[in-house]
Amino acid sequence: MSYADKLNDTIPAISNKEISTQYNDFFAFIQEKYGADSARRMANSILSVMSPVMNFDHELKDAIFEVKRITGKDSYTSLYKNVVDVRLNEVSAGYLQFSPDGFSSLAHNIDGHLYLWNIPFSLNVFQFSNVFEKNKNSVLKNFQFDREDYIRRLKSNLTGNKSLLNHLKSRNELFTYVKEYYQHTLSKKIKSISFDALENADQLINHSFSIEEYLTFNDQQINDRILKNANITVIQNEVINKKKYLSDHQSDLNSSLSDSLLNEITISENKINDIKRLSTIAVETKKQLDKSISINKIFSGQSKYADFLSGSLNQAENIKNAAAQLLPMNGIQRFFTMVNNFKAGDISEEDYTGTVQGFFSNAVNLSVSKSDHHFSFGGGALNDSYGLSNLAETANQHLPSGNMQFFSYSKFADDERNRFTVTVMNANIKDAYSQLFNHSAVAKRNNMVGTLEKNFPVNTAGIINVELSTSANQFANETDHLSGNAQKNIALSQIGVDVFNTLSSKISYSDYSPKYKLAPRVQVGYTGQGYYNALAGNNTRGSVFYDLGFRKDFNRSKGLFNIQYRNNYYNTSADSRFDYMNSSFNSNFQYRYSKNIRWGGGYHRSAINTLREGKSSLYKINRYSVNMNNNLYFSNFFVNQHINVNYQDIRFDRLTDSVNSNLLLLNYNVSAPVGSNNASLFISYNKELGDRIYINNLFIAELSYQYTVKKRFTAGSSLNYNNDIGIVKQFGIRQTLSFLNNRKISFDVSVDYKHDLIENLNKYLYPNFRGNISISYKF
Amino acid sequence: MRLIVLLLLLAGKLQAQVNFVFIPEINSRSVDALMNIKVMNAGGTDLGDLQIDVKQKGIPVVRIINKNFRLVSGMNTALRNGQMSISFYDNQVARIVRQTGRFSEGEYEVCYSFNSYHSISSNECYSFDAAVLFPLQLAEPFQNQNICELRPDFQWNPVFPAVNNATYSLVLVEVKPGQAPQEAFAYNLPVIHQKYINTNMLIFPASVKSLEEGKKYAWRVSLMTAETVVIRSDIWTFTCGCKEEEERFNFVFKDIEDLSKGDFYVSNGFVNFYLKNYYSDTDLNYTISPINAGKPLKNLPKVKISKGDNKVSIDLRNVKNMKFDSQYILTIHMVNGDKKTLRFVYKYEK
Repeated sequence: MSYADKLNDTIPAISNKEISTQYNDFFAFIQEKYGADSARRMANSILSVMSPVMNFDHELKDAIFEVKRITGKDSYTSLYKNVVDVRLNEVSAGYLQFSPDGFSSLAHNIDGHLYLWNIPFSLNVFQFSNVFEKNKNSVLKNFQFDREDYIRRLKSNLTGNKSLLNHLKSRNELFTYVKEYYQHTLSKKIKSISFDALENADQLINHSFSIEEYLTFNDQQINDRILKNANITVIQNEVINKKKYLSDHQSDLNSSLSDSLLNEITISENKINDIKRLSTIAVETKKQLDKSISINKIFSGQSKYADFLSGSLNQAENIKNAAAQLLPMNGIQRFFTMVNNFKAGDISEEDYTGTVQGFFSNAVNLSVSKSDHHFSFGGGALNDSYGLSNLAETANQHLPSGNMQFFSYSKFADDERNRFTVTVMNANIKDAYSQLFNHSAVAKRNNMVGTLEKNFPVNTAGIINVELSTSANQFANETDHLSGNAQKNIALSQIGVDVFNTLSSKISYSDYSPKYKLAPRVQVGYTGQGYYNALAGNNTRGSVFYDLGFRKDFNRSKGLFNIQYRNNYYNTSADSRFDYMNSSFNSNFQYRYSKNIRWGGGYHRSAINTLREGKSSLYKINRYSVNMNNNLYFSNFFVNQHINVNYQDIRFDRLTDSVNSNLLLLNYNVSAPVGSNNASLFISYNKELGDRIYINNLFIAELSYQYTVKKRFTAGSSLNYNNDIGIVKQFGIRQTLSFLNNRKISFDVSVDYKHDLIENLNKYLYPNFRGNISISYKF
Repeated sequence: MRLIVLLLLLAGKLQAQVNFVFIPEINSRSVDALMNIKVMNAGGTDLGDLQIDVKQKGIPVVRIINKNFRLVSGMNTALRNGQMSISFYDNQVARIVRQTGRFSEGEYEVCYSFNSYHSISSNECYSFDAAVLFPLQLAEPFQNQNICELRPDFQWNPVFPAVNNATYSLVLVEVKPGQAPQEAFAYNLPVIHQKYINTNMLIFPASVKSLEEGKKYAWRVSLMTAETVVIRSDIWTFTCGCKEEEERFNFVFKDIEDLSKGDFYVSNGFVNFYLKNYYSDTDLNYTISPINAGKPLKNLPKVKISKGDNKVSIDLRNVKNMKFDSQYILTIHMVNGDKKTLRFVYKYEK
């Protein structure tokens, strides 16, 4: 019975007959030398190699199991020696100043790390103020689990003890065994042959090439090596000389001498024949072996296994699984191997559907995964005016204030093609209209949003995604208008009451054809007038849209072409007719003409119309653009140029005037490395070609040079000129200096001074002075 | 005496005691805003019901009643006391208000009344046009695009209907690796923070340094009146720099000693290794042959190695006859006569 038959239970797809006939000798050799287990492993390895989709995940699982069985957890160092360890990483400060009557701000940042049982968390406190904006300042802080650092620590603990890695490497035995098999077969073959004159034929083979070379050499190479190593030319020359000597001295020589010479010649000639015969045997044996072993497939399988080896212990999932099974950990450490995300403070939150958007204060977000199941939940206070750029805002009509909580669950395997997600969000809000008025009596509301999303796979790469969302809103203190009875306070009581009005749904289809390198996509969506997600503002309610497009990649990575058409209808009044329509068309392409020249360009059109009382245009824009990037080589240097030409026409009516603009925009950028420094020139020009100016004609030119000073400092100097026709004409210089001392201190300074050549009518947009300094100190 | 009291009473009746200051731009934006009004009381402290009724074309939409509302003398800005209740009628307009807190587009009439428990009641009506703003839609640079310009122009669709005294404000921040865009707006200093923009487009400001190659940026436009945020756009991101070639390749340098011991090397256009040269600077003496055909390849790139440590990177992308997915042997002839061979699979598609 062949070994393949014995391995019936472990052979999935390939028919046993193929393996049994082809590899029987190989299996027999392995079995004899190393035992049945090894032969079985070889069969599995060969199967992995032969199958079209090579998946080595089971190798890692087996290796982990074996390490656990053999070495156990004691061989790994415990991760929880230090319970708590706090480390300050970096403190930095920055000061930004515009010209004295402009805007200035000061910011401080402190970054630290906290380690709890070796689980890393980062702490960040960011304080900023804007001196000219009502003396306000703000502090943002957050505390986050550093997942990447944790995975890195787990990995270094795992690989610090070599056993897992060695086990994985040792499973890469197929090639080693194949080598031995070749060695064994060749030696056996040679030993079985009796050569007339050649002694130690196997020694000759061993000296001619290594077994690795034998595996990769072609017939010619094998032959050349053997012949060369056997010094065949020397022997051949000897024969010729002796023959010549014999023929020259035929009369002189006595019979015994000539006999011995003839003998030597015969031996040498036999030796030559033997060498040639040996070479032929080596070549023939290899041919047979290659065929029987399908050596090319094994090479490519081995190369894939090498990729797997280097890649598998870099993948977070694998590290987590191995750590959970092999490393001694406490409950919290184990829990954190499942945590994807844990943060608190002033943060953004993540759910799997996009329902939870925005930024939150005094918030918390935790997401964990276990195999295909992913959970995320969190909550916090809505905050739309965070950040330095929002310091001056006193009122907000865009988003309400309040707090929210959410829960999200998603089930998906690696490829997400069958992903299913559900999110439920609950918010208690009130419109943060003005900070000047007290809000106590203002209507508070409870807003709930539930979203379901599912992917359906189509073809080999396509996905149909269906998303359904419903919202419900309940005012506190709502009474029935007829009876005066109080209504229930929570939005949950409202769900399903007004279905169509409060529904938002979207279906999209996207696919990819590798044969045509084409990726089409289609989307259709509807949002009811009553749909309201407190976290998203009022942007999409009462609308219907459809969207079509595709992307085509050119062959040989030459570039791509993208096209998209989208129509959006809005219903802003209570009747059922649409009031507005926004139609847009986008197309762009990139094309790598040659190694040094790249083209790009596009056309964009957008139109907004009212649909009431017929159709009338509110806004129209057509924008054409073309750009080119190329490298120009000169005798001992090269430059990179980038040219961008845009033309657009815009038509719409504003409250005070009509806009009818035909604008031409040109950008030109050229840069050249000068040794290890860099010089560049930038020119920008825009001109209104029509009668009425919308965007003022503008010309900007900047010549800059970036260089290193004394190894640790990088600096940049630039001369610039800007002419905003009629408003400002300035000539300026800018100097930047950065110092980076890898260990402790780094700073950045930048000073920009502009001199007015005519009266400056817009000092806000064109300040005369701008300075910026930031320093950071690492611990 | 009675005549004086009567006259005073009459005078009291003729005077409007309570005035409601309703400013459409401010107070018609939402249901909450209806209550953010100033109430002027010419008389003394009073107690009663404050009622707000909203109708559209005579059809009632919403009613807010604030019982036991205490009205002080003079200006009342805080409607903070009493028990408030809100009720909605049964029609589409009312349903939309109840679900979103906002009025859909149309003409409305709002009547404010103060029904005093002890003295005269007051009533004032106003009409207003509720305007629903079109979303603020960003246009260029497109969402998630990779752009070649380091000083791009920004463009967005204007907001309709036009809002009085409103200007746009644009903020651009760098998004650091691992940061969500909203967190970038919170924790990073803005690269561009331009206020009071009158047009629906911003040319990259002359006073701002160019953006940097390879970095990701996020931007957002807001419509503002004074310091009030009227509407904000979504946050869009883009990445600067389209020099794709060099970044595709993963440059890892392993020792040639290790590589030649039989590790399998996959070349994605380059063969990279680390080599120590004990001799003087020289050209690397190497050949590359296909695994089965024999003839070494011609016109291989010249590689210089110096004395000491060398990170050697051989660019094979332009070498003729290199075939995708084929195996080759690289043989290096060292100065001391040693030979190193490295077998690799070529995986670069032109």
